Amino acid sequence: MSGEAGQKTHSMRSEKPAASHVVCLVEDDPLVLNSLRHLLASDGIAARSFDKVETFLAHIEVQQVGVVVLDIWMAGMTGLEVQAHLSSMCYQTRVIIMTGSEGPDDERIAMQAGAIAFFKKPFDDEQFLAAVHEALRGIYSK
Amino acid sequence: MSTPEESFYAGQSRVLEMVAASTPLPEILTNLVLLMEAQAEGMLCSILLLSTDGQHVEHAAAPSLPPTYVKAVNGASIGPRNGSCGTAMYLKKPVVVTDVMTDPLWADYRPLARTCGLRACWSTPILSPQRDVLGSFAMYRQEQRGPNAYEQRLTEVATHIAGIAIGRTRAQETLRQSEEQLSLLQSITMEVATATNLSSALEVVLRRVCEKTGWTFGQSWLPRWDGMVLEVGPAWTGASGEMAKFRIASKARTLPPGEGLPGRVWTSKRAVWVEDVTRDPNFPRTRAATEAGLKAALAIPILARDEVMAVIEFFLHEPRQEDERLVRVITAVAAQLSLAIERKRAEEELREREARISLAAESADLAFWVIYPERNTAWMSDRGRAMYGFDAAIPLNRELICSRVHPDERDAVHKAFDRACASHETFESEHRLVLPYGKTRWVIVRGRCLLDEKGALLELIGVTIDISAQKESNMQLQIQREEMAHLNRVALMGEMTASVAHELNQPLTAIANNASAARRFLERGHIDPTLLKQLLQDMVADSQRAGEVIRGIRSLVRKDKSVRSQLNLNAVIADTLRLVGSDVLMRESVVTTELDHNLPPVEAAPVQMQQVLLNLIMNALDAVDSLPPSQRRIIISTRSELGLTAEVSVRDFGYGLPKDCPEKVFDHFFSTKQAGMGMGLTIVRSIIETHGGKISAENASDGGARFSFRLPAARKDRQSQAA
Repeated sequence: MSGEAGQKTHSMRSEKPAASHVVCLVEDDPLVLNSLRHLLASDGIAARSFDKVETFLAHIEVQQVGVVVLDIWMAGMTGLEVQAHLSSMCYQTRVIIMTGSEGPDDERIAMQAGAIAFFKKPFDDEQFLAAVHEALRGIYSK
Repeated sequence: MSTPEESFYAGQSRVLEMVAASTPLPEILTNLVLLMEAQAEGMLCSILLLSTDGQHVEHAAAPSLPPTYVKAVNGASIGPRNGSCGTAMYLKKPVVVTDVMTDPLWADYRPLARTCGLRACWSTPILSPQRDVLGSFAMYRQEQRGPNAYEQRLTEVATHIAGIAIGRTRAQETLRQSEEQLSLLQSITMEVATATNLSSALEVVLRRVCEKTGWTFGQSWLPRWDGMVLEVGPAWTGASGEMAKFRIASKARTLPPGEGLPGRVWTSKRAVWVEDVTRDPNFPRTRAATEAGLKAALAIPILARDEVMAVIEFFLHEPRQEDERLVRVITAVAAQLSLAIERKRAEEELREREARISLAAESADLAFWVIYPERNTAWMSDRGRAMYGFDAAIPLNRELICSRVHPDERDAVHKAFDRACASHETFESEHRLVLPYGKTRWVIVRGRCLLDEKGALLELIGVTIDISAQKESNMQLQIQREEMAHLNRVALMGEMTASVAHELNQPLTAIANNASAARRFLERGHIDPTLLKQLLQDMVADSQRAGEVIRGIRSLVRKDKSVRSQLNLNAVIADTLRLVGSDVLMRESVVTTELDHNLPPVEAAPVQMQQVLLNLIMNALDAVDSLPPSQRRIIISTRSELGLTAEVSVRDFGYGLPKDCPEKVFDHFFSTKQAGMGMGLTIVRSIIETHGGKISAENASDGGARFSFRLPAARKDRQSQAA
């Protein structure tokens, strides 16, 4: 949302606003992952799904990601850890965090680390899509 | 007036009438002698009796002979040269001495005869119809000559009448004596029967015997408590100054077996007669007896079951030869006493036995009963009747007793009785009683068979124990245990917050998302039917998944009875791990399994097995919590021993259990965790043990704790049934 957007975001601007591969979904529960993909698709947002943290981490090694929706509790690494990793890599990825069972400090940690939004499962579809749109606008506003 | 002949006959009739009227013998015989003397001028007559010992003559009637002569003859021995009478009785035939001054038979009596002016003496024995010598009839004359025919005729008459008189009197005497003995026996028997103890019974015997026999003194001796010596007992009779001294002298002594008169009786178990104790070499109380003037003595044992209970002794002021008749009488009395003692003893023993049994039974709150199969009757203690709800007056038998058994269990109880009767074995049964007013009791019945010496069944005896209270508290305990287990499961749910929420929220999220997506596609007016179908299918799958989760949680926290079924513990482990998956993730721990795929099934309640695993896994997660994530490892493994058992171990790599006593972790309220209640492992152990298994805790050699539990494999027949 700020002006620190790098060249990667610039290259994204050349694509259509509803372009695919812009929103990444990281969730190790395949049913939830599918439902998220369908929900985004129903609002015209293409998304790329990752059912393992490792795959996503490998992905960001080679490609910048504009928006990522992260589940917190996943095998191997938590969503909060992935968020911290992204910010440590100085990526300008917009992060949305969601969780099925909330730890006491999870929301605070996520928001302080710069998350766009924090959702407790199950969540309202309008609010979720609004948050995703806001995150996307942040990218294209650059 | 009458002729002399007539008056002689009248005289004879008079004498016989006297016999018939039971006139005392001396009077009859005196009259007879006078009658004879009246028949001949210058003739003196006498009648002597043979003493009861058959050895001596006794004066009976000699009204005309000088008293000095009579006194001198009285008590003389009979024999072949003992005057006319002693010899006649001895030889059982008439002895005619025509001149006592020359006849050798009279050698010892000549001076006496001369003093009394007697010159001839003809004596004829008086015989009983059985030809026993009763006495003798003698005629004396002052001139030397033999009897003439008339005198011989008179002798015949005299001995005949004397025989009748003596025989009759003797018979009456014997009759009177046996009547007296009989009445003595009767009165003693009755008095002894009512005597309250041995001493008072002995007292009765001593007093009565002395009263009836004229003996002077009687006292009892009893074996001392240790059976080593005899001591003077409290019972005695014959109170007088001398007797009291003799009694004191007796009391000062104890007599070992064989010593003194009572000691001899104690050893021989037979009556002993001493003619004169002051001359007896084995009579330690000689001095006292001499001072008291006691001579003859008789001692008799009182036996019970061939054991000498007491010795009674009697004393007389004069020496006396053994009187068999008296010994027989007193022995008979002693036998009566023995019988009474034995009966009393048996009664006391029976009463004591019953009292002891009753006491034992009542104090243990037991019902005691006896069933007599032969007579088809039964007896039950008061407590038993109360326990079974029988009125005190109702006659009982086995059927009636068994009618109180709960209908579901009655058959089995009957069979147990039958089996015991047939095999003569003991039996035990736990069952319910249903009382007439509907109350139910839990009881344990234990019994055994009593056999006679030939091995035939006499009776069944046994006890019934009311265990209702125990059952009640057991049930209470079971309820409490179930309550605790339930609380533990609820607490586990609380600990598994992450898993519970996550497991439910995941499918709900997916459903919500899919539904929203479908709505949006529809709103936009274009939807690929394949996609819509996909969305709907996913929603169905997700809602099913949510249902599963809820079912799983519900089954864990539900309070229902634990129903057992055939279980594969490997599957339970997989289910449980799914349930705690999120917590494992959240705690950044790794659980790995090493499962034996040939694990035999076990018979167990699934929820309880899950509870055991949950407890162990949650504990293991806690144990590794403070370690760096890379070390937070838990290994769950299964194995079987020869297919007979199924063993599960949960092993962590934490700091381990208290070194000294790892098993302590199973105790109530023991906790290494700050937040722990310390109940989890106690419940776990109780679950495993109620499944017939064992659980152990130990420290692994390479660090961390290992909890292992082992359950018996389900029985093969049931396994195949289940398959």
